[in-house]
Amino acid sequence: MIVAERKPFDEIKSMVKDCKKVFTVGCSTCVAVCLAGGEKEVGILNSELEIARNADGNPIEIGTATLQRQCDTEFLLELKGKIEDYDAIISMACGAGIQFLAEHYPDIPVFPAVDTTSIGINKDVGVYEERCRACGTCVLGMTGGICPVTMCAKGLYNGPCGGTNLGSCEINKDQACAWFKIHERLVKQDRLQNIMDVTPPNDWRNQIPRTTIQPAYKERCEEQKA
Amino acid sequence: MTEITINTDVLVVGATSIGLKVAEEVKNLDYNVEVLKSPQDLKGLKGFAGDFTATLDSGEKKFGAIVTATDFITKPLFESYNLSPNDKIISQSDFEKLTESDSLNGTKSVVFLAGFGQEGNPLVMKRVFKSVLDLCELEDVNPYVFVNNLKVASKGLERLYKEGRDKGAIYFKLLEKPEISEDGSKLVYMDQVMRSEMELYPDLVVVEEEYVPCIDNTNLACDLNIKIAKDGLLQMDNVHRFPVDTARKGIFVAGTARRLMNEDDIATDSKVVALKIKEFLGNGTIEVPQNVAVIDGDKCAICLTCYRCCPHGAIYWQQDEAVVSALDCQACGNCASECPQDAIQLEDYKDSSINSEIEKCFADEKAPVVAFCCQNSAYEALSMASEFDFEIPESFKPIKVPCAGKVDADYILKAFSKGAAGVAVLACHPGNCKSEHGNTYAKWRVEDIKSKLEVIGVDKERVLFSTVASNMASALYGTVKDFVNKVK
Ligand code: SF4
Ligand code: SF4
Ligand code: SF4
Ligand code: SF4
Repeated sequence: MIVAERKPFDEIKSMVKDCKKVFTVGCSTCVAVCLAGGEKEVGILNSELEIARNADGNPIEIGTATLQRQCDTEFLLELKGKIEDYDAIISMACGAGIQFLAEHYPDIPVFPAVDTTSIGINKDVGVYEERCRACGTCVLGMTGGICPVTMCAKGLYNGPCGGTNLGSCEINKDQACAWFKIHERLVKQDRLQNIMDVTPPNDWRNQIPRTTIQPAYKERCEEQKA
Repeated sequence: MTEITINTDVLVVGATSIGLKVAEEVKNLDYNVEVLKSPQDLKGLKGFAGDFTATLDSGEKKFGAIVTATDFITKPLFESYNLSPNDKIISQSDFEKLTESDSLNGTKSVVFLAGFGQEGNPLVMKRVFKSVLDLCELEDVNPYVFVNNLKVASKGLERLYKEGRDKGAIYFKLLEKPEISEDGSKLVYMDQVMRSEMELYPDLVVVEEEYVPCIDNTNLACDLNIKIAKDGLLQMDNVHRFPVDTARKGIFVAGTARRLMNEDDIATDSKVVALKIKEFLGNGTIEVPQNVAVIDGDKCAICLTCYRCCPHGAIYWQQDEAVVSALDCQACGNCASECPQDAIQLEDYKDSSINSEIEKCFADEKAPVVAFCCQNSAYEALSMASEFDFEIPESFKPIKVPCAGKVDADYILKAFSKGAAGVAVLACHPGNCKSEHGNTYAKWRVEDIKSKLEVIGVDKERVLFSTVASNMASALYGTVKDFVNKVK
C-alpha cells in the first residue's frame, strides 16, 4: 500500500490560518489502512482544528467526507456541490490523491494533511516499512525477493559495497545490509549464481511522470485517441 | 419472481414540437408528464430506469422514464455563397420574420438560394416554397428561386412547389451556384436553357439555412449517460435496437433528437415513443428480471471497471462494492469479462457453465475449433447456415454467448490449454453491437491474446476475430471453412 503519516498539527493549522470554512476529505483505501487518513483520522483532525481555533477565538467551520479513493475521478465527483462554498480543502490522501483532488477542483486551494512516505508493508498495528521505490523494472527475481533499490543505502545493483559490516550497513549499525541479506537468501535457495554476473543499471531516465497503460488496453487507448 | 413498484412519471426534456407531442400522447395514457423547456433546465440525473432522480430548478424530482426531445437549430449558409449578411442579404429565418411582420413593402424582386450550400433537403425546400407563396400574396413582387437539386420527397411538397410556380414564381435549376455581388444587388448565373450568362438585379437575397443538431445534446448525453453519435445526434445507428430506445432502459430518444423530421414524422414518432413508454412503465409494477449480472460483493475491489465498461449504464456503487441495477442490466456480460476480480457472473452464462461448454468441445474431438458466437449475429447466422445445409465442419464447435464482449480472455486461453486447434470470436459488425461496444472490446481482447500467444510460442493466426450479420449465413460459412482449413 501507499503509506503516509499525519502532518504535525501546527503545520496544518498554519496552512488554513486564513480560512473560515474548510472541508476535510479522507480516503478509505491506502491511507485508511495505514491509519493516517481514514474516516477516524479525519474526525480527529477536525476536532483538533475546532478546539484550537476556538481557543484562539477564531472559530472555523468544517465540512467533511471520506471517499472510497481520491485517485479515481468517479469518487472525487461525489464532492461536487458539497465543497464549492469552502475556503479550502484539506486532503488526507496520499500525494497522488491530493493532486488529483486539486486537479478536479482547481478553484479551491487544497492542502495536504499527511506526508506520503512510501510504498510499504504492515509490520504491526501502526508500523509500516518501506519496501519499494517504484523503479519501474523490478529485479526482485534476481535478488531473492529483497529490493536493492529500497533496502540498500546506495541502491546498488551489484553489491555489497566495501562498507558492509557483518550484516549491517555502513551508514548505521541498526540498518541491515541489503546485499548481505540478498546473499544469505540466495545461498539458502542455492541460487547464488544469480548475482555472479554484473547486473546492468536501471534506466533511471524513467523517473519522469510515468503513464501506465496495461497491455490489454493499449490498443483501445490509441483508437480512442484517434 | 420478484415484483417491484416503479415511478411512472415521465420527464420530457425539450419543449419542442416533438417534446410537446410526446407529452400529449403520454398524458393520454394517464401518466404524469413534466416538460422541461430546454436541456439546460436539467441540472443532473441520478438513478435508474423506473427510479430516476432529476435535479431541476425546483429541486430534486423522481421520474420513471426520461424522453430526450431536443430540436435542430438553423444556421444560415452565407459563407457557402461567399456572402456576408447585410440589409439586402438575409437568412431564410430572417425573411420569415419579415413576412410575419409585413415589412416587405417596396421589395420587388426576391431571390432565394438553396441546395448549393448543402445537399437539398425537403425541410429546407418546404420553407422556400412557403415563403414564395407568401410573396405571391403581395402585389407586384417577383420571387426567383435558384436551386441545385429540388428535393420534394415529402407529403404535399410537390403541390406547394407547383402552386408557387402557377402563381408566378420563377425557378432556375443550376449546376453551379450563382455569383452575387457583395452588396447583393447583382446576381450572375449560367442559364442552362439559354446556355449563356444572365444577370438579375434583386432587391433581396434570401440564403438557405442548414439544420444542425441541438448544441445541448452533448451535455444532455453526458448527464443521461447515453452515447452521442458523431453527428451530434442522440442515437447511434443500431439495427438491434428500436429507434426510440437508447442503450439505457427507461431513457428514450424522440424525433428531432434523433434525426431531421417533418411534422408527419414527428406525429408518428411521438406515438411510438408513448407506446414504448407504456410498454416499459405498464401499471407501475415490474417483474425483476432474473438472468442479469450479479456481483459478489465480497470479491469486488470496487475498481469501477464494470461501471466504466457497462454499455447500458446499469452499474453503480454502494459503500464498498459495485452493484447492478437489475432493471437496467441487459445481460450482455461485458462487465463480467472485464472485472479483474472475476466477481461478476451472468445468471445464464456463468463462468462455470461456459467452462463446461468449452470442456464439451473436446468430447469427440481432440483438437476442435472453439468458436464463441454472439447470439445476436454469428449464432443466428450459424443456425441459418445449418438450415440451408451448409456443411459446417465437424470440428467446429460453436458456443453461444450473449455478446462477443462476454468472451473472457481466460476462455480463449483455456481452450488453447486444453488443446484447441483454433479459437474464433464471432461478433456483430462494427457499429452494430447491441451493447454498443461489446464487439470492439472483444476485438481488442483478441488482439491482446494474440500478442500473448505469440510470446508463449503459439501461432497467433490460430485465433480469429471476425464480424458477421445475423442474416449472413453464407459469409459465415466461408469464414468458418477457411479458418478450420487453416488451423486444422
Ligand atoms: S488516493 Fe492515495 S491513499 Fe487514497 S486510495 Fe488512492 S493511492 Fe491510496
Ligand atoms: S526492484 Fe525494488 S524498487 Fe524496483 S520495483 Fe522491485 S521492489 Fe520496487
Ligand atoms: S469490475 Fe469487479 S472488482 Fe471492479 S468494481 Fe466491478 S465487480 Fe468490483
Ligand atoms: S451484463 Fe451488461 S448490462 Fe448488465 S451490468 Fe454487465 S455490462 Fe451492464
